[in-house]
Amino acid sequence: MPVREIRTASPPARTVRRRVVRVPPPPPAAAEVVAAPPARGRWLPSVALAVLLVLALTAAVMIGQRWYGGRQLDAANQAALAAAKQTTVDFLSISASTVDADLQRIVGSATGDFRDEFTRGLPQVRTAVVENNVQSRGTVLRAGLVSGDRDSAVVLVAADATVRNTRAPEGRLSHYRIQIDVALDGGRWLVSRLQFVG
Amino acid sequence: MRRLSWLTTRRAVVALAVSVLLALAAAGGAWSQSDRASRREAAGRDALAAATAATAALFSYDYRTFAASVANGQQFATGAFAQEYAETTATLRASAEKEQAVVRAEVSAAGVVTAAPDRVEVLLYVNQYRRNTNIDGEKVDQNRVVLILVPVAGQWKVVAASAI
Repeated sequence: MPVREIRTASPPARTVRRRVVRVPPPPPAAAEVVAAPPARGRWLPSVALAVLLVLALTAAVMIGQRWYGGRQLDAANQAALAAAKQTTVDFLSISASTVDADLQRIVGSATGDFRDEFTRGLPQVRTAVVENNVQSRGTVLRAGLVSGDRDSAVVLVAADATVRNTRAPEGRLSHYRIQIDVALDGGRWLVSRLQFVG
Repeated sequence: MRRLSWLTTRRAVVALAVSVLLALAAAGGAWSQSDRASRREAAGRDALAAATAATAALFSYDYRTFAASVANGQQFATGAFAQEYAETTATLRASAEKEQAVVRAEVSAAGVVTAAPDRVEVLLYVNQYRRNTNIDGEKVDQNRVVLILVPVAGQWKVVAASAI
């Protein structure tokens, strides 16, 4: 029977194992000498992984900062575009019946030179709007970013406005090519310059 | 050293390895996002520069060198717009030569409307200075043009153009 033959073959193997166990332990000094290299070797994976971890974390932080900076710039550009579009609509939407609120809305979103100039010219604009019974409504067709950083931008706003007044009661469509400089001022994007591009 | 010897345990090695993988994954994720953003920014910048040159070429012509003007414009066009440009200029040629028309397009301002690595929309303010036998001197048309550009073999080309 083959099964029995295998069983009978096991005793010699047991004898061999016993012989290994019987080998006398090395003297303490020798044990230290033998044990030292494996102990140092045991540190190797941990140290290597720790170095890798530091490198990977440094890379993650540096790349993360760049990514965050890019996101901040994107958000700033979008906010600048939105502010420029809104101010264009406000600037082109003035009616005799709401003239004071309309003009104050523009002043409220203006800063610097544009605010100064607009405020200086405001009484004449008000008079002209009321006398001619102006009703103007502006719409933005397209806005594009010329340049921009975290706290300022130059934006093009292509806009149309339907202007009704005493001379054109049916209304007349006007096309505008506007360029607006916006700046971050006290947490708000405000218009510092508005010009019609020739 | 003895107090830190737990660092050599199998569990610590596995924990360190997992931490390394997580840090690498975070770095990789941030890199891919950051890379996409910078490719978008580069696309906007490059397409804006190309759009200015393309506009000058596409919207200018001279009746004396009409074929050369069209050939010059055609190198900035691609796809459906290349076809449209060829057809438009072909029908324009007879009247341009009859009226001795010279049109010079100049970009006074340009900005990026939207930018993706493979498609950029640009708004341009274009002045067209026109001379022909029907008008005295020079007449200026102030246009607002929107171009859509796509990269073709490393160059930004116009795939759609419209006056708004």
